Amino acid sequence: MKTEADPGLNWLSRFCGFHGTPTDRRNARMLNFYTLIWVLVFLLSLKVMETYGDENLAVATAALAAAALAWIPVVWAYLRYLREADELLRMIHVQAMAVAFGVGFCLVLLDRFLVRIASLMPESPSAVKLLSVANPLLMAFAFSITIFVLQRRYAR
Amino acid sequence: MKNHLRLLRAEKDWSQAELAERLGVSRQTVNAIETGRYDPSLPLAFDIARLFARGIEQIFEPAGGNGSAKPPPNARNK
Repeated sequence: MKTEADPGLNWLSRFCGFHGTPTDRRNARMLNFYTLIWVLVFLLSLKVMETYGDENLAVATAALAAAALAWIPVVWAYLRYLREADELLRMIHVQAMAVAFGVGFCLVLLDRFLVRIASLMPESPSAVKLLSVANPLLMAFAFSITIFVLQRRYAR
Repeated sequence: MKNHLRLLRAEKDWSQAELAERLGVSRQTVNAIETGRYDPSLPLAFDIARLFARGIEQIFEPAGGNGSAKPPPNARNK
């Protein structure tokens, strides 16, 4: 019986173990591109907000709008990715979204407790500041880890 | 669910990648189906059956044997 490895893959794809179809790889590149654009716009908006946001309402609003609008192509690319995805890959992503949603929802519900605990810590200002960014980071972490684990599991 | 996909693929001397390309899925999906870790969707099961010119029940069978499915819990004999 013939067996063969998927050609033309980088080390990261090989390490993750699941490569999808050529369409999946093309759509993933598009999704990564728009996500990168969003990260750049978000960081730029943050910088603009910190520099001019306190004095100028219009600039602050524009920075907020830019960061929000840059998310639209990411959602569009992800919807397209899921719509055209290999069915096993789609199932993996749905499970990862369920885990990420659970983590995010849990953190939102526990926010009051976490802020209270963080304020009691010796380094409370930095701990409370950390909490403000912890939710999206932990959601992204949970999403990525779940995808990695499931891809490794099904690709064995 | 058990299946005979690996056997049928071997008869055709296709690699997993070749079969995956013919079915329009990833090689990992074919591998996961063959090893019983993933049950395909009904459209994909039909595509597999069509490709090998067999009935679905000749390729896939329930894990507990090929007996008939249980009747729904609210089904009653009249």
